[in-house]
Amino acid sequence: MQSPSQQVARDVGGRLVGADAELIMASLTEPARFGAIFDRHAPYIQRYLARRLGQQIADDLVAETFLAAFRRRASYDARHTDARPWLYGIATNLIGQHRRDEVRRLRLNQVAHQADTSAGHADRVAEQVTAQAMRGPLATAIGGLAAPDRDVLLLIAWEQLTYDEVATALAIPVGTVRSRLNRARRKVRAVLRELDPTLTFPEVLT
Amino acid sequence: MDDMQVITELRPDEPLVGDHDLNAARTRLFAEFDAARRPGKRRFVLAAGVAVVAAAAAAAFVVIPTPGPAKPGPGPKVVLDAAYVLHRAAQDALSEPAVTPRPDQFVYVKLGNPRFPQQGWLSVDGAHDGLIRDHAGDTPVPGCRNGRQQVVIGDRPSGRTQPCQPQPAYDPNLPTDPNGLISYLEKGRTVDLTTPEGVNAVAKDIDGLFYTTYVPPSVQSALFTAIARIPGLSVDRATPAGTIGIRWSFSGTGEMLFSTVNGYHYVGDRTVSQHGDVGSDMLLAPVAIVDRAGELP
Repeated sequence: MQSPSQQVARDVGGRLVGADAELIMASLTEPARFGAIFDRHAPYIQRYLARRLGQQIADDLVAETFLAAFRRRASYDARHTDARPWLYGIATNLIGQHRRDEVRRLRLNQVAHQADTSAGHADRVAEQVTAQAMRGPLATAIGGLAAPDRDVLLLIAWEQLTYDEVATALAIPVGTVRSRLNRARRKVRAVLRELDPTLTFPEVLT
Repeated sequence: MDDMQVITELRPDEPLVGDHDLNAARTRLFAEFDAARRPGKRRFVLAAGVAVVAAAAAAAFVVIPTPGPAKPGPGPKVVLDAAYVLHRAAQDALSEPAVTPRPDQFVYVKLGNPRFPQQGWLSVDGAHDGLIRDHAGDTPVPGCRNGRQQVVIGDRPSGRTQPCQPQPAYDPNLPTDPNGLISYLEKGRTVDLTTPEGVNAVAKDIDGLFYTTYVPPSVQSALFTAIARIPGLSVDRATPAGTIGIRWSFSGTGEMLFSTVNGYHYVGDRTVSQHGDVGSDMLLAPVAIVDRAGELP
């Protein structure tokens, strides 16, 4: 994951200039400084929320995310120069209040792809049909995961966060990130094998 | 097959949204900034009569008064709100490079109508001879040295002198935080920003600061943050191309103008009648520091 907050300059004293942590600390006495945090990260947080809950809810929750972040800024750990994982964590907590919306969205995804595949196209290659056919059951499988496991899985697979960043975002140890991800992947693989028993999955070190 | 890749491909195709789509969220957040900063009283008082406004230059760079009772403006309904524009301006100002002028240098300003611009070279310490140039020619701005300055008759120094107070075009002691700036301004006469007269006076002081002095980025930022607290400001987008106007609600038709190109940057003021623009004082170039009167940046 790359963000502008990581592309900061250092002054002659080695102090980070314009890093998120610095801006957040400055915003304790000068609240408007927090505006730069919004401008840097809001598009990404909004997209994350839209991916998980749809555009309409995302538009509302992106404001809630940054309002919550602003109100909690005094407790921000200034050792983290990049605030985006922290913001992902706050957004993920808010998604937790919309679990039903998310599961409904994933089920709709399944219905949509069932309709898509049943329509069929003669020129579609077999592999594409197979991948397409997997999307619906896979969406259902993800919807059926325990919420903490789904959060870890999607932060890594969809948002490309590292394990350390997920740990920061969700305020959990890195070991817990690994175990949640492994559990989520086992369940997803089981669904995929049901669809195609010939599938094999290379073991990826997590 | 890589299961993680399959899951990644399931990701809904959502675009990164632009500034416009985030306006509603931004407005809510910036309103929270105000609430966090507001010390608990709804009204606050500023002072007029800013000492740093150079008297000689002020005569040349007069701001059109905006009398009259408060009334709703004719501008279109817009999504952006005034607090947002001012907060962005406060933020964007901080991205500008700050310079510390030497006492023997000059603050260069260029403003007015693009067809008939006025240029000013104003002494940083007020002790050096400055210059105002427009379509009619050059007018000297004599420096004040040892309490005396040349008397200008017409556009020529007369050879006689008169008592004076230096009018520096740069004050290194301007506060860089909104509260400090308000305190600084309160050293003059007190005005009430909930009255048309109060807003009008402060608007002229602010324009004077920008037109006749070098205002460092940190001071600009504090100034815009302070202005954002004034109740009743509104946005007018029916402004010259590339600008947005912040309307002083109590002055009826006076506006601060901000460039909307590459962020929000203060570029002047204007007065609007029911029939349109009746006067603009636009900064036609960024305020700059030069070594000699007459030298272009």
